[in-house]
Formats: sequence, structure tokens, C-alpha cells
Amino acid sequence: MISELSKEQKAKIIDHGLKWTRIGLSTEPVDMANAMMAIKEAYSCAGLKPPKAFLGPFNNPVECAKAQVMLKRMGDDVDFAKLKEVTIPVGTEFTSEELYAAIAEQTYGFCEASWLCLYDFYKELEVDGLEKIKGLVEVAKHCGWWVPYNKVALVQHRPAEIHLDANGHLHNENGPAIKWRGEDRTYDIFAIHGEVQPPNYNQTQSAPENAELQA
Amino acid sequence: MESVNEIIQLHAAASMKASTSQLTFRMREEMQEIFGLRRPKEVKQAISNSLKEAFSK
Repeated sequence: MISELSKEQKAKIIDHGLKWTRIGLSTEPVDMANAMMAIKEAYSCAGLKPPKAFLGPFNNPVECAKAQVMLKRMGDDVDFAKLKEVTIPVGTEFTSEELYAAIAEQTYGFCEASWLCLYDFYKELEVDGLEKIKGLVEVAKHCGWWVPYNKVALVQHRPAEIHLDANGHLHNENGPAIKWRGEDRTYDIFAIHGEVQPPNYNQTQSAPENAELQA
Repeated sequence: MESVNEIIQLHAAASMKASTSQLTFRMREEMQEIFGLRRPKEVKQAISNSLKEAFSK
């Protein structure tokens, strides 16, 4: 039973925490090749065959959720081995219930940094039984949120921008604190010193000034 | 199209095996305190909450 850290183990705490904080706040585009390898490893760790196809990268969780809904609508009558992308015809409608159910099936990739950091450090303590999360540790390093289905995995980018204040809270007075990749700004997240604000917060704040200038 | 629950359960499996059998309760508490990375956790919570707000009505 481990009850105390050695001097050497204590010396590694800060670097380890910084390494995983960088992973958890990364805004790098997804590395698809490495993400696919890591996801295959996660399936293997879970005792599963790898997915037949990988879809993505999607720009944000909602874009991914729409593809998930389309997949479900297509049913199992699809040659998943040949599936390269999911086409969403213009005018396709999605209900909130469909999208929320799809989002609930997403898992967190880089956003799992806080707990993976802990278990990754357990390796330093020579704790047994961590082989099962090896794949998830690798996934966190290479992609955003993702979706593990039995036949296909969907992979997302990390956000394009994450802004924090000096205390490390989400914060941006001049735009979104979390900005997604792509053109769609609908799901960007605005925050002031860690307090999440309504969508398009900054634009709302500047509206009266703009109105005054136009008057 | 079915979600693969085994992937989601990897966390619980590793947690149980690694923590309960090999570290004292005090050590687990200390480790969680040290490595409960606040900033990445806040990003995850903000994304999750905003999606919940947008779609769970």
C-alpha cells in the first residue's frame, strides 16, 4: 500500500501537472493520423475490434452531433468500411432532443486531462492496472471530443482559441473565450472571469455604442 | 449505430483497480487535490454546460 511520495516522485509533480494542463488547454488542430491510432488503442484496451471507419474532423460538438444523427437515420444498411463522410443535405432539420442525445454520446478527448493527469502520474508510483486507460491517454493528446460507436468513430477538432484571465479562469472581453474552428460562430462560448455569458455577449455589450454612432 | 459503453467504462475500471487496491485513502485524496487540474476542468464544464443550455430544453 502506497502512503507517501518519495522525494523523486514529488519533484515530478509540477512538470507533470503542467504537461497535462497544456494538453487540456491545447488549441492545436486535430492530428487525425495519431488520433486514429490512439482511438484504435482505446478500443483494443476495451477488448473491442477497431471501428471500420473514422469520420471527421468536425469543428465542434454540434457539427459532430448532426453527423451522428444522420448516421442513425441511415441505419445499419451502410458499408461502413467504405464510409468517408456523412452528407447533410441543405434544409435537413434536427430536433434539440436528437442533438442533445447525440452530444450525450460524445466523450471528451483532450477535456479528460484533469483525471487522466492523475492516473498518468500513478505510473510514476508504479501502480498496477493502468493499461486500460493507455488508449484514452493517447486520445487526449491528439484530438478534441470524439464519439465511439461500434462501427465508426467520429473525431473532433479542439477549439481554435481558449482565453483565460491571469487567474486561469475563462475570460475574454473582446470575443469568445472558447472559439471553435470553422465559420459557424453559433456555439462559441463567452465568459468573463470564469462566468459564462449569454451567446454573442460581446456583440450585445457593444450594441448601444454602435447604435449611438449610427444615430 | 450503437455507442460503445466499454470505452466509457475504462475510466471506472482503471480507477477501481489502481486506486482502491494500491493507495491509501489519504494518498488518493492528496493526489486528487494536486492533479484536479482546475483550468482544463473549467473548459470542459463550460462546453458541457453551454451545450446543455442550448439543447436540453
